[in-house]
Formats: sequence, C-alpha cells, structure tokens
Amino acid sequence: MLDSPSLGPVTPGLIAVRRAPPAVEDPRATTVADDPVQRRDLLLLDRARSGDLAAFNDLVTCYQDRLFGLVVRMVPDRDQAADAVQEAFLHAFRHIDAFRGGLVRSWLSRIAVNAAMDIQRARKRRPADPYPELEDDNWQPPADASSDPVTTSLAIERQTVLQAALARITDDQRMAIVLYDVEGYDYPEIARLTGVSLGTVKSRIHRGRLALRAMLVDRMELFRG
Amino acid sequence: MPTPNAAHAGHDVLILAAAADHDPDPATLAVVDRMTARCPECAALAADLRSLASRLADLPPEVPAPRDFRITDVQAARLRQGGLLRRLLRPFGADGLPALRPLAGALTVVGLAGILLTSLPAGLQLGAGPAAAPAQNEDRSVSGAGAYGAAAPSTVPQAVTASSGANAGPGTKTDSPAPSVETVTPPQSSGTDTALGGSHPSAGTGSEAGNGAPVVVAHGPEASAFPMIPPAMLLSIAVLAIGLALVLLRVVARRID
Repeated sequence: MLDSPSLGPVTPGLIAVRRAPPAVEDPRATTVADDPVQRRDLLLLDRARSGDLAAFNDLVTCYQDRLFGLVVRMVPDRDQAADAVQEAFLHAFRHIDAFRGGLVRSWLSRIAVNAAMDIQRARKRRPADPYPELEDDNWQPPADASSDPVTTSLAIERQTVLQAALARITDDQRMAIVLYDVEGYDYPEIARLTGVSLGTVKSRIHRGRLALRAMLVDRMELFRG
Repeated sequence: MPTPNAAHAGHDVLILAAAADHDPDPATLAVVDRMTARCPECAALAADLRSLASRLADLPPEVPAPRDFRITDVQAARLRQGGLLRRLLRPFGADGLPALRPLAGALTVVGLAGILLTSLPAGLQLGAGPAAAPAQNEDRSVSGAGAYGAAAPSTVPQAVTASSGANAGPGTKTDSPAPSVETVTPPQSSGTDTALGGSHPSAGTGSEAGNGAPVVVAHGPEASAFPMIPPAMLLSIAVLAIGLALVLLRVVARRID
C-alpha cells in the first residue's frame, strides 16, 4: 500500500491515492451528513435528548416560522394554526427519543402535519365554523423587501389571492398542494406524511391545481408572466 | 364538425395538471405537447396550471409565527414527568413495545376462534367422535324409580340416586318445579321399594340396577342456572379478554399521548 508505513513517506510525483474518509460515529441514519443545517439540527437534538432545554428551544427558534408557514396554509385559521404548531413542538419534546434518524426538519414537519390534520378532522366534525382567515385582512404574507413598491404590492396581492383560493379547496387537496408545491416535498414523502397512496397524492395535487385554476380563472393575469 | 369547445370538453385535463409538476415525466410531456398543439383551450389551461404551480412555489415557506413557541421550564418539567396515567400507559402507546400490537391482535383472534370452536355442537367439534352423543344419551336415561315414586305427582325429582337392587333409600330431591321433563325408563323388574312404600305404579329399581355403582343424575333449575362451561371455552374467553384489553389500552394510550 502506498500509504503503509513500510513504504516510508509519500514523495511528490507518485500516484496519489484517495483515502477513505474516516468513519464518523453517528448511530443515526442520515443521507445528508454533509448538510450543515442537518448537522446543526442533530447536534441540538442530541443535546436536547440529554436534557438541555435550551438546545431544544434553539430548534424551536429555527423552525417555528417554517412550521407555522406550513400549518397556516393547511389550517387557514391563524389561531388554530398557532395552537397546532405549539402542540407539535410539545409533542416533539415529549417524544424526542422517538426520532429515528433522517432529516430533523422532516420529523418536525411530520408532527406538525399530523397536528394540522387533527385540526382539520375536528373542523369536519364542526363544519358550521368558517375559517376566520377568509375575512381577516390584517395579516398579509411577507414580501421581498428589496423590490419596488409596485412589485411588492403585486406580490402581496398575488399571494393573498392565492392564499384565499387555497383556503377554498378541499383539505386533502390543500395539504397535498402545500406539501408539494410550496414545501417542495416529493410524492413518496407526501404519501408517507399523509398516510395515503402515491396515486392518491398525485390525484389530489392535480385535481387541486385544476380547482385553483377554476377559482382564479378571472384573475389569472396576476399569475402570468 | 365539432366546435373547439366541444372537443376540449373530452380532453384529459388531469394530464395537463400532471405536466405542471416539478419534474414531469417525458411521456406525459409528449402527450401534453400533442394536446396543446391541437387544442388552444388545452394550451391555455396548461400554461395557467404551470403559472399557478410556479407561483405556489414562490410562496414563502416561512411565515412569522404570531407567538413564541419555545418551551418553558415549567412545561418541560411537566412534560418530562408526564401524568401518572400517561406514564403507566407509555408501554402501550405509539412509542411503546413494538410487539404489543400483533400480540393484541393474535390474542383476540385466538380467543374468538376458541370460543367459536368450543361453542360448536358436540358432533361438529374437532376430535369429537360420533360416540359422544350416544354416551350422553345413556347418561340421561338413568332414572331412579324410588325417588320418582316418592315425589308428588306434580313434582319431578331433581336428583335421583339409584342403588343396586332395591332402592335403599329416598333420593335427594327438591321441591322446586322442574323446567324440563325427563324421560324415565320404566322399571323392567318387579323389585319392591320398601323404603318409599312401593305404592307408586312406577316404583322399582333404576335401569342401572345390578351394576353396584350409584349413579347421580342432576337436572333442573340448579343445573341449568349454572351451566357447566368447558375449560377450553373459559380459556378462550380469558384470552379474548386479554387481547381486547391490550387493544383498548393501546387506543387509550395513543389518544392521551
């Protein structure tokens, strides 16, 4: 072997042999060991497991806006969405030992999606309660601060219209579209998250897009170009 | 010749929606290309769906949370400790013993199967030969004429003791009315029943007379009020109860989790 001690030091000009990287002792299975965000998350999670509440709260700080963005599009009532996110973090803390590896973000998202689905199921049992968000104009989606005012107002209007249309399609279609188009999950992952088959996920996304287009057919100029 | 709108109504618009995926497969794209080349409505719809998908992807994934979701020390302490019920039911919950679910299912199925099998009629039970039924009939045909003779006409003896030869004494009896009529074999011999007076026309020895072994036959309210449950059925009921209890515990544990 070139790097064996018997050969002495490697001199320049000889064939360079790439050594296998040293094995990192990490019992968790993860496919993105090089992802700095994932490494940070795993580190925080390990510390939280050993009882470091501050580490868990760091995770909360990192992901609370993201989880709220995910849940508030599935459950357009902002108060209920906030409750669902809070419940998701409490559940994650209580079951922190149940993390079996993979992306921490996906783990937290799965818990949040379950919390959102619980709220949707409760909504179905009480269909008389409308989503207050539909009449609530106080909250506007954030816009890019670097844009000019016209672009910003256009973006806000587009997002508001899109958000309102999303709130009017079925819960299942909305969840699938948010996970696929907004969150960027792929079909198999959405199937795992929502507990339905791959074909059902595709059908919900495609029918949901058609439903959105049917609702927004008179306002499509906002979205073209 | 059909109008363009009529032709579009028959087109598969779901495949147009599928073409707006992040990474549509080439076969779908080829079909959609052919559709959009021939149908302007399809072309407009496909363009709109792509625009919508693109704008959906532009929605910010993060929305400022309306409150701070960090966990306080008090909440953490409560969550770590957990309620007594939650701690007790933790092994049955989602993160509990993995073998619990199949075990509960198996016990329930085995218990149900056992109850079904043991409740089958004797002739249909596994391993029960045709001789079982006649044996029972023989038992039921045993009669004690002495006691029968001692009873009032309206009262049928509940327990009859037939002894060898002549009946040596009165059979054990109760005064409660019998709910069922027992077929009594008439005495074949002319034996006397001195103890009971022998005045009853049907008085005499039991049909088992001469074998030397006393035979006790019990029929009546006491016997039917406490029917004898086969041990196999008792075991099946117990197994079913354990299985159902495990299922119930699992449901409760997951609910409060």
